[in-house]
Amino acid sequence: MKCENFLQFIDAYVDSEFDDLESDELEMHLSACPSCREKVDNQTNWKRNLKECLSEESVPTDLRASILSQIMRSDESALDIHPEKVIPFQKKGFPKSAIVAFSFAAVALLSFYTIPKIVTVAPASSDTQPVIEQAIDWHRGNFPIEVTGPESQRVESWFGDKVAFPIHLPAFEDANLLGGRLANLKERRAAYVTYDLNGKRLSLMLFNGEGLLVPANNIKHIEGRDIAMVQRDGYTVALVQNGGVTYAITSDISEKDMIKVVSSFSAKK
Amino acid sequence: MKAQMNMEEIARLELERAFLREAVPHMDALYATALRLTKNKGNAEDLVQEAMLKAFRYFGKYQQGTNCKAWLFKIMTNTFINNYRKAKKRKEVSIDEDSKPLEERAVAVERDPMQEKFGDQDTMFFKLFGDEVKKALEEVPVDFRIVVLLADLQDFAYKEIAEIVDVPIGTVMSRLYRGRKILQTKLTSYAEEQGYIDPKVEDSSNQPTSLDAYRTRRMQG
Repeated sequence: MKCENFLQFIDAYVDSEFDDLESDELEMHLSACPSCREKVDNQTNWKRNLKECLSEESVPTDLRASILSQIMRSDESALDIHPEKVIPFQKKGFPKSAIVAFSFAAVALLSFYTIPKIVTVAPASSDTQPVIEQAIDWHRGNFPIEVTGPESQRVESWFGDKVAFPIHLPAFEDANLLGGRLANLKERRAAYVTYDLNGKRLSLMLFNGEGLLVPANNIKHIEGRDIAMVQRDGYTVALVQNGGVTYAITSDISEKDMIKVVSSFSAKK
Repeated sequence: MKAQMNMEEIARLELERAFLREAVPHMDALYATALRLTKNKGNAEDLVQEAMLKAFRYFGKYQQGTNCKAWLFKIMTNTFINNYRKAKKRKEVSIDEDSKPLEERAVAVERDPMQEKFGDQDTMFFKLFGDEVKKALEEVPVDFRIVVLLADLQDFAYKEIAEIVDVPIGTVMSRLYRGRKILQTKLTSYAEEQGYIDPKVEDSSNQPTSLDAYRTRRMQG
């Protein structure tokens, strides 16, 4: 290949448009031609520098908040959402046999230790993972809150008639209640509250856990309570059952720290 | 309140969640591009907001799991071009270089300033004169500027750019080539003025050849 042939394709080469085989051919020329090599290096540097120079700016915080609140506002007519346009939601049935229904956690966990073959749910089971994944999603999303803390009574009463279960927010040690909003987990309405835990964000979701499943091999006994603890994508999620309500606690803290948090879990009865 | 939400509420929440997961992470990229398209912060904010709300409205039609970033950029680019044309019709913008016909502006740039001019020092140049780089880019006519932004700032492939801007790949390649050359010429003049590099005229380099031409040539051995 001659230089003039190579230089016809230098843009496409620098922009990584060629497949491996094609690139190999062009690189054969490059390895033998310092002059074209230098041109490629210069052009690659240029591209990288231009990108660095232009990508410093991120969306201003107030614009981000404004866009998110317009998207997530409960008034649907304002956004002209038509039911036929939205994605169909598939309601999945739960295979009831051979798995643990989470609402019966206390009973099920007891039997787990005696007849593990029947109740063990594989960690990859598709029925258990959505709860964990969605709890992490909500945590990671850090979505705008609809009611602000730090008084837990104010947040609790805001949820009042919006959810079909009583809201008793636990008092976590060293954690400040930032606020809450409505959320959903699978097809259920959930209460989402977020805390500041020594500079780290901690999310708590409360929902009716009936029929939802947890990986039984991740169950730990802490302070006389059964807790499902799952590590995923750098996050730790703890699931606790309290007074008929399921609590999912998510943060990017270690399992050890999460155990400390959950130990201080003292929801009012 | 019922324990279970009705299907519409559920679908709405599912849609929100999917949008937050797939579309919202690209907001910074849209904004960085919008700044250089609209040339000012206020207009960039309006453009990103309009594009994001439009995207949410049509999100049900978008096939989840496909190229969401390219889809968002297509919406924003269309919105920008439409607003731009409307504004031009109302003659609310001054007649700048952008409003001249494309052919008139597509004059080949005579020099190829990039090669060997900035050399290893261009990193320093970009660091020292970042604002000038942005200003120079904003002076590049809009059809070329869009393509340069999509390729060099957002790393889109030619094929994706062709879909976003709705022109053939060959046009993407020639606009990209010219856009980069216009920008480089502007920056070279500036660097020369500042005494950063020595003026030195070079031959124009080869025009880009289409990928098909390359492949055909290869086939023929």
